Amino acid sequence: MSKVVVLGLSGFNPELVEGWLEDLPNLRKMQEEGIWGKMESTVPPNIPQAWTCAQSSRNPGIFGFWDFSYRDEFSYGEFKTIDCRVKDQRVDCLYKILPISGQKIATINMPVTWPPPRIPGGYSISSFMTPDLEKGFTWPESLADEVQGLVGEYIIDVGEAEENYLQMEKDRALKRSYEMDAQRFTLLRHFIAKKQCDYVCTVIMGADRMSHLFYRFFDEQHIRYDPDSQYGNVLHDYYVWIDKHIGETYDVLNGDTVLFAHSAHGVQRLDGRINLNEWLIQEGYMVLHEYPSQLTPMMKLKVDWANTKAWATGYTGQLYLNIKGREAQGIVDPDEYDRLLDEIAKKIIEIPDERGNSLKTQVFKRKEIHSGPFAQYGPDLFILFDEYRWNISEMVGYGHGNLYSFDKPSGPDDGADGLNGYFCIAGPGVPASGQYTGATLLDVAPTVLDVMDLEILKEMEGKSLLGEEKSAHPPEDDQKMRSRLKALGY
Amino acid sequence: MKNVILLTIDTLRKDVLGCYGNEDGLTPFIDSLQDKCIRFNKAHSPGPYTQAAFPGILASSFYMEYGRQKMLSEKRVLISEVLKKTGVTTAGFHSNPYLSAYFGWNKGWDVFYDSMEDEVDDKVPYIKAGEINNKVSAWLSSHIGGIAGYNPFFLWVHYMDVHEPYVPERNYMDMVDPSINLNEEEMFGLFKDVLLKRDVSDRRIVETLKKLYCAHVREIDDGVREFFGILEKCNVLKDTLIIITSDHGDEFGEHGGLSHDGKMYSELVNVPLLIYDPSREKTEVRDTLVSLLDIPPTILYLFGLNQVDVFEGHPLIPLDDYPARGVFGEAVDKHGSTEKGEEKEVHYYCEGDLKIIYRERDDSWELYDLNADPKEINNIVETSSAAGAMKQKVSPRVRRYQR
Repeated sequence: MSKVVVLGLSGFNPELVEGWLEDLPNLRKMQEEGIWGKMESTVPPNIPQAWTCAQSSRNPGIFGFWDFSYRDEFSYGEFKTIDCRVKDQRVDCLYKILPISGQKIATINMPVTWPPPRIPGGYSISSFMTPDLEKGFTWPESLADEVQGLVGEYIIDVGEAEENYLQMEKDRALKRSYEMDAQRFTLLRHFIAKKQCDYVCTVIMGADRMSHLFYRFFDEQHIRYDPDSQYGNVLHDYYVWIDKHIGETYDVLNGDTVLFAHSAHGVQRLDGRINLNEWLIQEGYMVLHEYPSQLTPMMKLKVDWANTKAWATGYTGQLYLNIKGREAQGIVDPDEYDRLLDEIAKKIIEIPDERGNSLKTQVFKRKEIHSGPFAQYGPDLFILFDEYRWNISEMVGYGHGNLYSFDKPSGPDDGADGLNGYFCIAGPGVPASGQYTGATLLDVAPTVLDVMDLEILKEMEGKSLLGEEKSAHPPEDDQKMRSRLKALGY
Repeated sequence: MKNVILLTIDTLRKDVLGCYGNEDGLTPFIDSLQDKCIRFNKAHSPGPYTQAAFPGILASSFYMEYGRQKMLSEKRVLISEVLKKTGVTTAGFHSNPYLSAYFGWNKGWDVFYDSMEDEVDDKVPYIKAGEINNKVSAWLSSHIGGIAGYNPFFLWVHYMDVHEPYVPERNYMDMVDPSINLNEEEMFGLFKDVLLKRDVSDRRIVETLKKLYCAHVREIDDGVREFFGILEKCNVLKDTLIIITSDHGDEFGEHGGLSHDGKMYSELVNVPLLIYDPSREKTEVRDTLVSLLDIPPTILYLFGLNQVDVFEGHPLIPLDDYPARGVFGEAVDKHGSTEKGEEKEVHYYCEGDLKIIYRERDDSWELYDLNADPKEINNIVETSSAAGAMKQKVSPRVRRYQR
């Protein structure tokens, strides 16, 4: 069996990796020696549930969140912030599964790990959703001093308590991002080298943050493309810098450890937002007691629930119906559920972009894609405008019939989380089988278990990416095969 | 007939063989066999490179069936597996890494040699036909033994000698063009600096590469001659039917490239296909469209065995029972590890004189009238009334095996 290091590369976009591969020698080497490809995210591709899907190989219906907050049963207005305790009650992630089979592990900055999970015999450092270092960010608690001794003041996220990173001054955000991710790599290598762990994972957030901040400066197709800034190469350079650290990390693995790098979604250019609640009002599916005089989030709208059939929340196309007997003031007959969803979906698909072009919109009913005990509380319909290149605004107050916007209330945002993530896995026992088609986030946990020669749990919904090829060959055979094929020009 | 041999020559273009009209005298021995051969003029490979072609040749299945890993899917059934179960002795000898035990191709063989244990060098990164022949000879001698009554065998022999890098021996170079005075290093330099870069900008260099390739063709003809000599010496030739083909051709600038990438033009997918029958007295030429997927069913027929459901081809024999039908092929456009980026599918379908090609990368269609335009230059997809029907044959096959 091999040990595993999982390196989460939040926001890593496979098209950007492809385009810049010449400048990413370490990823290129891993690709040549292992398996790589696109990794399909979950619908919707939001950070909290995407990483949870990866770590558990279960769909969001099992654990009941699709975003940074989750709906309290069938409430209209009460959305709770997810935390690690709720997640761990509902689903088993690798950091719970592996210690049970005797593995020593460390998990660093995995989304939705605050409060830090208490890992028997292992270590955890909580995620970017940690409210305050003072409230505890490590398990065991004494690990905090060791962490700060190694890296100084631990940086939770690019943004700070009072300042969303999107509103930050760009140079400062960039500097903080490098510092933050350098800390993660330092800790990752520390746990590999000094703690004799069988499994270490960390999630690098910087590329994600930098994509949202800097996409307009290099992508000519970006609606706000700005070619004349000093930021044109920022994201490229960030990828190159991460690649350098991947190389250094790969080098400290001493022949018995597999490196599994993956993102949970890619960040792509954002083309705009559909003001979905404005649209629902325009179409008569949502009725307000009073149209707001300024931009107002869904939860603060004065909704006339007795006359409202549907509403939407979040940025990624999540629509709920107001069902009689389910929601407190539901008016839609349960027998009408599918008919109404079909009717709304059909109209949504016809919403064009602001120039009248098709948005190639896709819609999924929840029951088509998610199942499990908490699925029922989830959105009834998921909407993907142009593969998420168009996001959604839940805000109302843009003006009646005004369906298009761009910025978030939290600040300008250049990027949109998309379904295409990236993965690459290489190391002892991993065949050099090259590009893999059809990987999904649900394959992460089974692949880790497979590499470690542990049983893949029956309830897991994904598959091992090693497939039949796992451990079929000793590394020297892999090497011989590579050199033979290369000599033939392949 | 007691035994069947499948002799496959990697990367051998159809149009370099004298029996297919080449006038340069590159294949005197193979040409001399023609009296005893059935020659198929329109044999098609299901793919333009080894990984795409051999699932058809040995498992009668398409490349993208069962997913497209380099690893042979357990669901594919090799002809060797079927034969071994019936008691036929099966033996395979080759030196193509893509067909090695490493990728699972050793299923069903009593004897399997893939050369991966042996040392090779950069200029000749495979075991040459002469050495393959030695191994076949040793095995065959021991198999037939001294006494009559050896077990019927199916033997697969595959030669790599025509495959790049093209570094032919001097005497073969002289037979093709004595004016080419390149030493080994210079020839290898062309491989690295021109062929690997798919650089067709200098026509003269491309012509030189073609001549180096042809010298290897001349050489492999001697390899085949030696092979037949071994069969004669072991006294099995008279009891053995021999299928001779190649997995794909090679490109020399015909469509802007070199080597054999994911393209579907005739220089890559039209292959020689001969069935040598020692009891035959006169050439039989067939113009029917046939596919290399037909080889495993043909072998079953020759051994008098029932067909198996998983095979997608049709027996070539009896010749008159072969149905008139179209042939398909599929590949991805980037298949080597040196090619970066996402793979996209390429498909072709051939029916009558028409060939349609679909490229997923730019969602484009090409249609050629092979009779009027054998070089496949004039795309008539916009003007031909047959375009719609041809597209409909291919469309359902695109991304059909997406997992």
